[in-house]
Amino acid sequence: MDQVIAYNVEHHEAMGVLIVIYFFMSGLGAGAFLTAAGLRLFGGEKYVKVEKTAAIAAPLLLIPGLLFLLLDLGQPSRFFNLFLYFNPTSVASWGVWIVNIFMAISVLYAFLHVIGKATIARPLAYLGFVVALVVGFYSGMLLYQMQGHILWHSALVPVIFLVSAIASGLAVVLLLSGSANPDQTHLLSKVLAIVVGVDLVLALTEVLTLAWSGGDKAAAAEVILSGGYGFLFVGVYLIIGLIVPLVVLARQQKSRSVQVAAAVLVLVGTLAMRYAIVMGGQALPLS
Amino acid sequence: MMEKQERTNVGACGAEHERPHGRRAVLKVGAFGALAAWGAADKTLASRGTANKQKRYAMVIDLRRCIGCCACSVACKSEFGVPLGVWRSWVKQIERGKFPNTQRHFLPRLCNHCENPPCVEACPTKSAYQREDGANLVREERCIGCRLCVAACPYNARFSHPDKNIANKCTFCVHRVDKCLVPACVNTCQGRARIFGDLNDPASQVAKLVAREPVQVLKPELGTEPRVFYIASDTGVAGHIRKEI
Repeated sequence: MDQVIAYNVEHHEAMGVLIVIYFFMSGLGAGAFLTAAGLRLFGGEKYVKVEKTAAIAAPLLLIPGLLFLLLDLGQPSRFFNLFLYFNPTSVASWGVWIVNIFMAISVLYAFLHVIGKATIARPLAYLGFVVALVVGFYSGMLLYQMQGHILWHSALVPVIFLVSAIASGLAVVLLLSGSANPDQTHLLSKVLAIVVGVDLVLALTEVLTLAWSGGDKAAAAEVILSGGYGFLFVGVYLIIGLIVPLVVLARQQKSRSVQVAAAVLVLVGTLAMRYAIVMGGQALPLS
Repeated sequence: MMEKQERTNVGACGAEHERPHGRRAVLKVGAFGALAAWGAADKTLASRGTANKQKRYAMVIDLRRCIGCCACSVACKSEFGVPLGVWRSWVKQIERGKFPNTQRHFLPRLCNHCENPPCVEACPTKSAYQREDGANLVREERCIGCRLCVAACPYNARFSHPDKNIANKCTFCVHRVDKCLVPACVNTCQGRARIFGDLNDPASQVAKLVAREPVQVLKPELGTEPRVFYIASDTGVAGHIRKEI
């Protein structure tokens, strides 16, 4: 039947560009730290140069991201309330502590590398590895809790945020490791190809599940497939940010120019995905 | 104990008065002052809660009586000085059908004052809280303006106050209700479509209507258990995705 909404109120989006940048940069920080700690735990001393780059990059990417989060608050000067009051049912309440613990760990880890004491960093790498995984997962959990937003309230969203955080972290370390031994960057690009492949499978599963569910879920899928955010999600994220890097890395992982190109595309794609999910998730009317 | 005399559309008489947009003194004392005052504020809330323990405020909106005059929206704006561009209460309108078979449907909106409020769950500082009588409110002096409650509300009932930069929403007019008045929107409703009262009082009009009439709530599938009930709500006007039905 013909139906027109003659009048309704839609309030301004709750989450904006600053939150998108925060999600992107905290993901980069967590991903870079996972790269550093992963090389320490599973790689050993021969990767120490790449590890140092990653370890120093992690806090330098995370901390500006946290500043964006602070700027996003309506009352930034009251941020300390986040530490004074704890709400166990709020993902953000847990996240504040997790992210701050992670910041301390990543700063300490970077410091150990700067003063050349990386060999004693192994226990910290274990702890930081787990905390960084939680940080990567948490951005998506924050969105997942908002059950009114169909695009956000999916069990795969936190996983996709974590995997793309790892991919973008690997990409940024790969970009910064130009002077490292080719063997070391070769390893990074191989791992990057695997993570990008996993990300692609998860993203496709997510959008197809929504698209084939009908009703409101199909409408949510439409927003990121063919609607206002289709170009960013399908064009930039799925094709330019995942499929193209996967194809070029599958053919050639040793060439430096291929590595740089793939890494840049993964970074652009991750940012586009975060923007499309955060803003696209708020594109559907709530009432 | 339920008091028989307390009848419909009447608030919790004698409970402490809360000003609608009064900034508390704690704001000016600074961080440590606020911390000290917090204990006191919580105590006040607790005692107020005890006074209202038996109550569960609810609203029934009888859409058969709504004429879409939007007096409720205006009364709400005027009661709280709600700034331009944001609304605590409004009337959604849809037009259905093709000439000559057409109809305009109305859906007066406000905070649903859910039994399981997602906003209260999501708030990282416990600024969003539920009074024991069911009203979901904001501790304005504590809110950091992160807007997670705005994102968490599935009903678009919350917004960031453009001037105060903190969360703002319908309060069920607790400042009026606590003084035995009905909410401003109920008070002004010309068709008496909006009915307010204590759901736990079997003698109240809301309790009777909810028990006897076929009532609907918005998005029941989310399990939020709204305490704003609609009589004769249309699927089209209650739905939120712009699709043909």
